[in-house]
Amino acid sequence: MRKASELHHVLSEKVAAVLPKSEWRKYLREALFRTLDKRSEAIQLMAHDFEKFRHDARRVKAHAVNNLDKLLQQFIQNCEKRGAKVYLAKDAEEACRIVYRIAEEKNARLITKSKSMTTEEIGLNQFLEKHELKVVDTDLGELIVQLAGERPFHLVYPAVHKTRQDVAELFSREAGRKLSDDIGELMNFAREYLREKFLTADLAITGVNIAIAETGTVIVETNEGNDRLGNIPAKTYIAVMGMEKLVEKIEDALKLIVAHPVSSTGQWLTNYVSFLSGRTPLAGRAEEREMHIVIIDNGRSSMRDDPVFREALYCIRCGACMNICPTYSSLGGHVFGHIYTGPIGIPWTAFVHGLEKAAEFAPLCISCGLCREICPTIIDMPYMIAEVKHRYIQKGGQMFVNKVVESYETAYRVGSKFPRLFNHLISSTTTRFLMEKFLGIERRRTLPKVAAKPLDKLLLGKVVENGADALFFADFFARYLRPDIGAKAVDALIHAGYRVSLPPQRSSGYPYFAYGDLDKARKQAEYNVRNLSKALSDGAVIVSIEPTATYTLKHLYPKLLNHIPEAEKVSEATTSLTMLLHTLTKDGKLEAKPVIEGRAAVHVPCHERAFNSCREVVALLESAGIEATVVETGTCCGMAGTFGMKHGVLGYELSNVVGEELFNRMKASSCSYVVSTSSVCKIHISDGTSLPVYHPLETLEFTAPRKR
Amino acid sequence: MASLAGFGKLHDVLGLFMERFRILGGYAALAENPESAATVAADFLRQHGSRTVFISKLPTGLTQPLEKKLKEMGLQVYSYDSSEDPVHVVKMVDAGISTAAAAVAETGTLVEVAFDDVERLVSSLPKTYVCFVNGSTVVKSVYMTSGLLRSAMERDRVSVTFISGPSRSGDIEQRLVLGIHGPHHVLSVVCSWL
Repeated sequence: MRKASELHHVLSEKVAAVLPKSEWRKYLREALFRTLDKRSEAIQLMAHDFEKFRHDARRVKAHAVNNLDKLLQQFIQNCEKRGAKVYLAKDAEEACRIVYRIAEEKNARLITKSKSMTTEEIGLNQFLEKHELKVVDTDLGELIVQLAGERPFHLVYPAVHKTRQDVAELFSREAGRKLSDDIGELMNFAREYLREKFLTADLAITGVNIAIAETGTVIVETNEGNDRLGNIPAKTYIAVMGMEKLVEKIEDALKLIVAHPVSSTGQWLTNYVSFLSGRTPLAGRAEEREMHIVIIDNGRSSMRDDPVFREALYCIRCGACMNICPTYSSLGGHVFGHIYTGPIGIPWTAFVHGLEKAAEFAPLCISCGLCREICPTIIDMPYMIAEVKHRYIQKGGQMFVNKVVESYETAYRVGSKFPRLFNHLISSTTTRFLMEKFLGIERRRTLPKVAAKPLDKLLLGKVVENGADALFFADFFARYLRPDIGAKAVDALIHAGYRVSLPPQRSSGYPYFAYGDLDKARKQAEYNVRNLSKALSDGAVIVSIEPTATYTLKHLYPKLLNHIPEAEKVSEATTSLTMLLHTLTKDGKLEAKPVIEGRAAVHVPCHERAFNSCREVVALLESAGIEATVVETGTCCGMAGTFGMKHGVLGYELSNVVGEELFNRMKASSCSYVVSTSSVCKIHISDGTSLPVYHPLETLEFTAPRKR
Repeated sequence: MASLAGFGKLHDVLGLFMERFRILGGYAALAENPESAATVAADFLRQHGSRTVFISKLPTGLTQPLEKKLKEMGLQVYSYDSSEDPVHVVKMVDAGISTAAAAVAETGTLVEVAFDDVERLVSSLPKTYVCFVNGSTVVKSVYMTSGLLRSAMERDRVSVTFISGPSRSGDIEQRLVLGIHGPHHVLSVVCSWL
């Protein structure tokens, strides 16, 4: 296993090669954002209750994975009854050999193939071509990358990185004549070129989107209809599928055939959805028309047997996690991926291509958590990715800079004893130069100053020891940087009639999680959960001014601590502070007045999205008479906690590239200031836009309601 | 052209199907009798310059008026019975005509049930495709097709295909192009007399 520093070096070079391509990045980002917009429209139309829709899809996949052995047996029996031949391949090599053997028996020379990530996974094209068979990918995007000698860039859009000019060049080379870059002309060329292949191929291969156990049916979805043109004329047809494609019933399959297009391209349904139950005859002739189904394990059984990674098998390959991922949409799938790309590509690669391959691009996950929020089967990708990082660092070690940024709390705790000296040092050019050189902290990044007076002192006489109905979780921001905002939150709750306490606590420890140091994250969780649950009385709430802290208590701690009752209790009681304050003002229990004039551009931090509380931030500001507009790209600003503080392309530079579109929108919004609940997003947006950035509580003054 | 008035509850579903099918880049029409269905189909083929057409199975009572109409318009008609090598014939024709077993309104989808791949060829290969569908088989949502699927899958060998508009691709710069492999022009004729 190569060392972390070696992998870091290779990845940095790949990232550095892509970062200067700003036009290409703009094009890629627009394409992915357009897809997300279409997805939202399709959800409105096809899945009004999207949470139910997601849970239904998850249930279908979970049921199938839980009963995989039984369903596999049932599927094989039913396929064989229909005359299909079924093969089980334990790994990529065996799968390729099975396909080759069938091709050899049929004396096949020309093979058409329709879009299948599973055949990419096993390297089928390369294997067959090594044995002098000609394989033609028939999906337009796949054909483009095949002619370019590249691998797919995206699960759903394999050639999204190619411009029409690139395609014209590739097709002209194949045509032996100059083609224009008119998309219609390019399409006509592809149609004619592939038509001939379809009609003369000896054998057709397709991937499989879903397989129904109860009927022995494989389902293939394509928008172009290339699967049909492949497997209708060819005498021999081979369907290659991963074993996780199985579902039990027709009704389960119907849920997924809707979930696929809605979540991936924003279509209501894929144009052609073929349910193939046995091989249908052609003009009454059934003889010589064979159907072979190759079912691949290749690491899937190990995934199923691993409690953390089991739910990676719920992936329906919609690619939505890639579209929303801030670093993927800045770098693309050739940097952020191996064969499987993007966030879900990390756990999948770890199991089908090895841990080290996954570790090569896992650091590009900056733990914003948006992949989990968008996933149609609610796969906890952030957790699995942290686990991949964790397993890798047991063997390849942790990067020094990650250890440094993880221990920021210690530095600020010491700094808080000597605030003037500390603040002077972190503002000094010489110190920052040394910090960059020896610690890896980017010198151009603004570092937050430590507060002169700690939170505990500001809250003296205000908080109670026992019997509180609100526990304040200060986290790093309120404890060391802006205790004044923390105190304001506590005051607001007291005005609204709450008795607030500040139980013993440490910061949330999210950076440990983000860098895969799960043992340290777990220790932090244990400490906080123990103290918070002890102080928690029935009906009490836990709040924080930092959305990442709220997110950690709510979503991460229970999983880190194996869902022990105390962690669940803490999670249950944790709520978004902005949501709570909005409810209190709406119910007349609190009054809010503006203390800053002008229009506010509201930024939505990623961990705020998990609470869907962005509307409440706007409503809270509006209730005080502040004109507020959400300005966003739909993805992360790029700071990602401490990621944007690190020196180099895998830190500061990438975080700026991720943030550039948001900064442009913020500047173009003509708002007087920006509001963000996140302390680190605040630094990044302020650095990137030069606009003043405030926590919402800084813009408001809360008072108890006047008596009527 | 027939109107949807007088269809009661079915009105909403048929209207929705035709609206969604059109949004997907297809053409949709309602026909009240075999003659009007034949006219709609023939006019469509003429508009798209078809000179040869392959006809697969048709709804009851439509074969005669349709063939008559097409021949009147000078189109050369091929059918399943007369073809020796269906792949060879279907690849030569400009248009294909067949019948869907059902349709789904919400997604603008035709449900093709094929016990022989000639059916699939007709809806896959030619540049222009016309599909007839019985109005009473149009259901609101995809989830309502499970009964039809289950019953079709009782046969040993069957291919069911959900077809939602013309063949399409967005693989070059995400610009939508129709007809990449399969049909470019697709008409669905909802037969209300059946």
